[in-house]
Amino acid sequence: MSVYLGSYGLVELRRSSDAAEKTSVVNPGDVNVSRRRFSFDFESGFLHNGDQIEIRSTNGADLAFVDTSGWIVNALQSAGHWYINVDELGGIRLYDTFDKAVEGLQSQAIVLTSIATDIPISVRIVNIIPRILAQCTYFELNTSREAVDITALGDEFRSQYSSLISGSGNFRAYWEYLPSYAKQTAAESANYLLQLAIRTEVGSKFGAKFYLKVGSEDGTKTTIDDEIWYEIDGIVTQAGVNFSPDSAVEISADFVTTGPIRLLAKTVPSDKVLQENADDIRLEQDASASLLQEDIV
Amino acid sequence: MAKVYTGRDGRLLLGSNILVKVTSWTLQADLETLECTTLGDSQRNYVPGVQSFSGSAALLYYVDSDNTNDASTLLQKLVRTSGVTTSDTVSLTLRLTNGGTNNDVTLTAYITSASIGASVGEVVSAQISFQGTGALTTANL
Repeated sequence: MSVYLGSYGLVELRRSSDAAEKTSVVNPGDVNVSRRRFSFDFESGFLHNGDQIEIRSTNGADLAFVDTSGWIVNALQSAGHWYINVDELGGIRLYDTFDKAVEGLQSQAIVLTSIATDIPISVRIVNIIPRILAQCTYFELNTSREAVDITALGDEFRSQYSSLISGSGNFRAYWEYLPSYAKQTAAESANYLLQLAIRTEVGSKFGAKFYLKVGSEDGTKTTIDDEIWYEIDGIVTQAGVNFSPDSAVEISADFVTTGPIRLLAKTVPSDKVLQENADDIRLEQDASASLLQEDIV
Repeated sequence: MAKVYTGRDGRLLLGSNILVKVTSWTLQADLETLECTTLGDSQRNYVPGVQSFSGSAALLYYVDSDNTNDASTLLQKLVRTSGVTTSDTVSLTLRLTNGGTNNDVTLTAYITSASIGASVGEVVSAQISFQGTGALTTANL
């Protein structure tokens, strides 16, 4: 029998958005080639640093303001995905990775090219890659199921019928605004949760995985590599930050779930999987092997 | 022996069949009073007029293991494509039982209103109202 400590858990966040596509126009004057920055009309709060967006020209023209070096195929296209950094004036820089976008350095931004004519575009927030929430110190996830009373006349005991499932919870993390903790991919900063709570146009939706157990990192594949986690979509209902001189700055966020709540597991099989096809298979087993054969009935 | 009656003792029968998943029933008995006060009287006087009986019941929309749906049976007396005729009466018995002793009110009635709805997080139930016609068949409350 084992006792697990919180050190086995972590939270993985996936950015999400309720916003529909936004259409706008990139004018020649909106593109600043030397600063690798461009802009289009959008409301404050629609885009955040680190968001992955899809830009698509609505008239089928190439997105000529992005240099060919900024495309995977090294040629202009009419649509593409990038990570963005938004400055305080609404200027946008494009990046090829999340951590570069959050850092926001001009030198790492995608190179832009000046354009001669307007390019009508539509912008959609994509955000499909989950990231570990940096410096998370605590999380809690509660699930509850409503029960409907179906007791009828003549019954001696109350009868209940299971109804809807809902979830809620909260997490806490040390506040930071740049990802400094990386394990598998670049980490999500806790500041994003504060931004989530006050987003007006695109909502406060996010996807998350709450790991009860993560695999070991020593490379051996045993049952200690099993992973067990809750997977949810949630909406941040409350976020706060405490700030005092004698303690580390910590944020907390409450959320409710929306949609299904899944408790998933990825287990490592205890035995090797044998290929099953029409070929002849020669079995060789010594005393220490653990090859299992199924009886033919 | 003292006895307090509760919902555990309640039953609703359609004919001789006990309906399942009934969550409530009510019975309203009324008597019209005809005034016969005359000049010189100091108090109003009445003589009894016509009695009437009505009530309501609520049932879960529930399919039993034998595929019967009691709520549906009652709903179909009113929710139907053809008109209601005099043959569409039902015999309802409103019962309070105490072991082997039943306190029944049985009446012949028309279903006069029926409602059913579905809402998130709740079970589907039907509410019916009925209007008795004729005298009570049994009355030993």
